[in-house]
Amino acid sequence: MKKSKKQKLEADYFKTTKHRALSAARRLISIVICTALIFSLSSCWSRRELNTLAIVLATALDVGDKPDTVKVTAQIVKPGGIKASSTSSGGGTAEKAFSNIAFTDKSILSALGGFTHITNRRMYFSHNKVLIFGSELAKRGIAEGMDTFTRNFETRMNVYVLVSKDKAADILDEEIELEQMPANHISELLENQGLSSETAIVTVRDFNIATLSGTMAPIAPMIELYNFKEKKKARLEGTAVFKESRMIGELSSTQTRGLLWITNKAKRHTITIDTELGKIDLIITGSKGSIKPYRNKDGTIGIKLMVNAQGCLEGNETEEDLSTLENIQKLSELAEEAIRADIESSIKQAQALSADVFGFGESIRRDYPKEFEKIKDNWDQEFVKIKPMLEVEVFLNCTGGIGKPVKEGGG
Amino acid sequence: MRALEKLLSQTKKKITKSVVSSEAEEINPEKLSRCLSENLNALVKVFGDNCDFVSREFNFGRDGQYKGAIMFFDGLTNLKIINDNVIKPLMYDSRFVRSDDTGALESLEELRDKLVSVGDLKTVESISGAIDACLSGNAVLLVDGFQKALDISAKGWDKRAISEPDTETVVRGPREGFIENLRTNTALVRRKLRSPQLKIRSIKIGDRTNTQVNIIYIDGIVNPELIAEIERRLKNIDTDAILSAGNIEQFIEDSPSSVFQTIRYSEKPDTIVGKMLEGRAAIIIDGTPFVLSLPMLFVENFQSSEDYAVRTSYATTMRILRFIAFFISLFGPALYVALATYHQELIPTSLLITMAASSESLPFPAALETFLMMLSFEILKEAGVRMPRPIGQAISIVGALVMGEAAVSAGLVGAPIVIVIAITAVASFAIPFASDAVSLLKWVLLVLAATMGSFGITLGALAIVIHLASLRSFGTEYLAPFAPFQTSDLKDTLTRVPLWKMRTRPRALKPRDSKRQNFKIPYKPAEANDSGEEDRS
Repeated sequence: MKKSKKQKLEADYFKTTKHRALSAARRLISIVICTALIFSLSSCWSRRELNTLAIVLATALDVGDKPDTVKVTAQIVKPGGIKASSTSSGGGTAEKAFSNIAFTDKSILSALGGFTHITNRRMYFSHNKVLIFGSELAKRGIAEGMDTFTRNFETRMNVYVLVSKDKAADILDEEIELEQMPANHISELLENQGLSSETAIVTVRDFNIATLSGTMAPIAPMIELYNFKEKKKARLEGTAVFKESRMIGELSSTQTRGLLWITNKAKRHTITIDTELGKIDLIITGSKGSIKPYRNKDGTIGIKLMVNAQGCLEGNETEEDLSTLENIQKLSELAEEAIRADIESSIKQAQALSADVFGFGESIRRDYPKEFEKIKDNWDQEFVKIKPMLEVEVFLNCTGGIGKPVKEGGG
Repeated sequence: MRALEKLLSQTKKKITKSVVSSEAEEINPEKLSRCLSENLNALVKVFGDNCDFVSREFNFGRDGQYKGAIMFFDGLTNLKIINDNVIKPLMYDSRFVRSDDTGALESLEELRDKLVSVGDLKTVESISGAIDACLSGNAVLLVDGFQKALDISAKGWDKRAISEPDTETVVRGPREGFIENLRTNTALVRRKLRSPQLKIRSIKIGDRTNTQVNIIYIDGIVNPELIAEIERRLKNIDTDAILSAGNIEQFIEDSPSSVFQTIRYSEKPDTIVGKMLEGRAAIIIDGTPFVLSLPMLFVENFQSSEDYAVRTSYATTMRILRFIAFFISLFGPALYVALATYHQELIPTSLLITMAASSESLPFPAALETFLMMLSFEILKEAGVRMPRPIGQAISIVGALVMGEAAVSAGLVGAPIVIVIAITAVASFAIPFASDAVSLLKWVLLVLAATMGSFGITLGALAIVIHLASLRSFGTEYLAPFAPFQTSDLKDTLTRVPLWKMRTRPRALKPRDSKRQNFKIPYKPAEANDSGEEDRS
């Protein structure tokens, strides 16, 4: 019997989910095969219970005691300590929430493997936040460490890189008060540096980008221990400059600030100006820095540095009313002068080290690739010769909560 | 030969169609006899064993020359109607016929037309018809000398009052709900839809229960092919009993093996009318307060009748919230297990440390822990449903204490898993409909997550999506309007646009008349009004 067109349409319209393509048995077999394949083809079986992990929060790399060895120190979370310190409210010294373990071996990876001899838990590096190199190791070369911490699947690229002035392992033993773990203290310390803009914040990723560019000198903030009320505490101080994976010198805090102004990383900073009348504090609330290469008339490439900052009057020790236009104008000029001094100091130091920490070479490569090809090979000599043009502009847009200074009978 | 075949098929029909037992068949079940006592005997043979069967013989007419009998089931009928409107006019009033009237009864229709004052009257000519009438709650009047009987509608059994349904409570919007009585239910719908285009068709299903099932739809909106399909599927049902809406649902749904329901039910007339106005048909089943509406789309799992009674912004937020709740209740435990055992790198450090601290001394792996907690919650839930209300409270207190507090402080399970299970449980109650499917699928996802981590969850999610996309409900794609994508139908899915913007009915339902209303922005004070005021001032 032939189906009429209408009947056919109706049949199409009320299609149900019955598929006749596979018989029940074949379908069952295919499902079984597919399920088996899912389990056998999906490679890693990586189930790990939380209480079998040693969560690493910070790693310190030092030169080992024996020649040609490296000492890896890892700070791991001690979950039991966390519980104790959160439940026992005050009274008695709470158990530490972390534990530092170290192993020395020929290479970093073999030392990591060595941890299995001393800890029953699997070292878990996904939450590693801080990577500290001892300055001794940094001077010998950190290529191995950077490669290991980049290549591994578990470690992340946003790990903060630091260089300690002394042994890196000691930093992890700092006596902290507010945080439960030194690793958190250090990483949060770095995250707060935007308030003063005197420390470069460098992650593994930033470091690698600088290394891979060829012309740029990687940098890393430096950390040191100091004694405060007979307690060892860590503080950030200056910046280490690297070249060919070796630490070759340092930038002071002022020079680091100069670097941050140019590289557009400075956020807030308080500038204190000494005048004949007294001290004046200006706060820079926002700044925009840029490196702009330009072509000279003779065909050579020059560098123009521009810093555009906004700020505010924050403190006034003098008895002057600084809210007048002329005074604001004068203050802006003084602030510009201060920023200019920072930048010049940092350029001087960088050229003394012959290390392009600013990325001048990169900016030339981007804007004038042909010219860069010519100077690329002896960039070190070229960099030392560069005399950048400086353009600093500061715009003060308020005088804080009050206009006139607070002085006797001033009202 | 042919005659023999015809005879055979006829007898077959008799067996399937009539409820008459084989004894009754001996005395020609089809035709009523002219003799009252013969008819009475036939009926008493069928119903005689029943103590609630009433058969009342009486004489009537001017001289009492006619013999009659009325038969009905006590309890199914309204005795007042039978007494006042049938027996009284016959026995009492018929004596006062004028003397010039011979008082001779020429036909049974004369009784119907002149004496019996009941609204719904029919004549039946067969014994099986009389039996049917009695069983459906009518009274049957037999008169000696006529080969017919009167089927007098005197239904009057006790029924529940119309009340607010427990399953779909609303804050705004009508509160009345369907009850177990079919006619009351159809009346509730008709009261909301005073349109001649509202059609109600009746089918009897169930060889034993003879349940009345009504298909109800709006002629002119609904796709006629849909009605034909529903009728076809209903007529195909060959069962002896239909006791609830769920029974019908299982007989006519497209994918009986799916965990997702493809036929929606509701206890509220306003919901059903709303569905009918969108181009759906409804099935009302006698004896159950749940009315089926079909075809059903996946998004209907997230729609509640309240959505249309509250403000658009709020309704839309609630819709999105329900979708989120759906995903939480489906993936919550699985995601927790996957994160805690495979992908610790995805957990924020401080949270991970807290979790590590709480799982420090736990005896079970995270997957087993989750499994046990889910199991105990499901048992608690089931116990809560089955328990009588006063005991139920005790159960919930013990359950909450044992699960929430004692298990954690005894160090059997971690605190995070209790939170995850609690959120999952609460979320699963926030979805109006799909919670059955969700509570099954979350087990599957848990197993996948425990064995393969997020890879397993992805596989599970894919399988669910593929399954949903393959489902059909009476010719409509279940995932419509997402797949196949239909922009104009999106107005009532993740969002609920203002009612005045719902210009067309959902196209996925293929309504005959897709236009719902004209597009009109609700009244706004026009600018002309403002200028007018200025003029006055």
